[in-house]
Amino acid sequence: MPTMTESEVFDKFSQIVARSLRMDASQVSLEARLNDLGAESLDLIEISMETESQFHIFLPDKSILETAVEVFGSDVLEKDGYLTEEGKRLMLCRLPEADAGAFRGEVAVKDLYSYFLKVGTWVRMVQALVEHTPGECAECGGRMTASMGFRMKCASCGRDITLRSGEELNREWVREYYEREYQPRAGMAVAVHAVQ
Amino acid sequence: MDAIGLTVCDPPKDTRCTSGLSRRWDAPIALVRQLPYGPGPLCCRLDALPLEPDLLADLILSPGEADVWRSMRAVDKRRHEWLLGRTAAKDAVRLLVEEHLGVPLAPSEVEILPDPYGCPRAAGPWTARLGIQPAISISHSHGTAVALAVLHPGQRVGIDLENLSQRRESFEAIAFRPDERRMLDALPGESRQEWALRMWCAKEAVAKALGRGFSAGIQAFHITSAETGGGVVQLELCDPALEYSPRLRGIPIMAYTGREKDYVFSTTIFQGAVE
Repeated sequence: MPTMTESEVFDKFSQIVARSLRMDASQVSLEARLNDLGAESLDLIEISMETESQFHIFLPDKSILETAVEVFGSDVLEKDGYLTEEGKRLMLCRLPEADAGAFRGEVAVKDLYSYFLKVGTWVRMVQALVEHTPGECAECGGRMTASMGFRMKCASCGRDITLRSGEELNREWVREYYEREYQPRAGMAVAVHAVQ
Repeated sequence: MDAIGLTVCDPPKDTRCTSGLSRRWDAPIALVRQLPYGPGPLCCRLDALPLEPDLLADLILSPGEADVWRSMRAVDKRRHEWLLGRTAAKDAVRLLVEEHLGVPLAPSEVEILPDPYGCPRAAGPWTARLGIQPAISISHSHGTAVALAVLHPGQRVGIDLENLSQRRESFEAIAFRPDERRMLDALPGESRQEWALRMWCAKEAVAKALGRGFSAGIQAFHITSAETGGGVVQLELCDPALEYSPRLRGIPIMAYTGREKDYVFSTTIFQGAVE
């Protein structure tokens, strides 16, 4: 699997942003938010598509929280517009140290939108997804190159694969978290309640 | 620019000078006006900053807005668009109140504040004093800002403006469902790009009017028909947008679209439907 450093991803991503927003790449920083850089809704779509095309990845359609709510059910991760402690625990587990500060104290779900617009958040998400893009063919070890749509083709043997979507990878991560982290805790809570 | 920083802009043909800094723009509300929507709607447009930004901010912003302006960590383009949008929105509300109630308001009295979902709201002591709560919507694109305002209680408004230049067709794959793309495929090549943008504007105008933007996802705003002759786009809401607007289930929503030079726009007005 090819790996890219945060710096490599940032350099490439900042070029995409700069081109889309017709600005100098030096104005793009990890801390900047895309809307503060002047991105409008259609710019965000174009940046998403260009990012997918250049990094050979499938960005998820939904945020990790939306996917997690589908798996956990309502009121477990968010209630009345705010993250529950369980919701914050999931977000903190999912995010690298650099992003953890955003999930301390009271966190309104609507405020997460602004967080998801941070360049640094995009860079780390892309970096994680790139790890699932094969650099070498599993059959012959040949170099994989971009093919039609979200497909890649081996330059040596011609083997053709479809990339895994960010949505699929997110759901897989949430299910693993649910079974590994949440279920044992939730089971214990039920047992304690039964004893009381 | 002259010595005191004034920029003189050529007004587009369908605009009228107002007592504010922006101009009334009737094109986006021409169709809407034929319908029984009560006082208003009124649309204002501003194509360039009429003064040096900090000077304009000093003149029109309330103390609270001025704090936002001074602390805004954004590139100049974004900051200027924010100021343009505020200027147009204040003018739209002031003109509406003056025309229908005969009460003049200063720009700084009309505070434009985001609600808990980030949707702009007109605020100030005058709302309680006059017993009104105008609904507003703001859009900006490529250095032009527009604002739409209505006075009728409970009405929701949405406006979106996009520039035709430099837009690629690639956004269609994310913005539209297969059946919506088939509508576009049926159009002649020369109008396809314009209609893709009109349909996008219609979705965004409705998303703004509902007050939650695209938080429910773009696909939750489904276009069921597009009347290319009159510019009317009909939409329906789908899950998960129906979670916060259940009364709109099965109700067609009309968005009115148009084009002027390189700009495409859409407006929508309907009675409050957000629980």
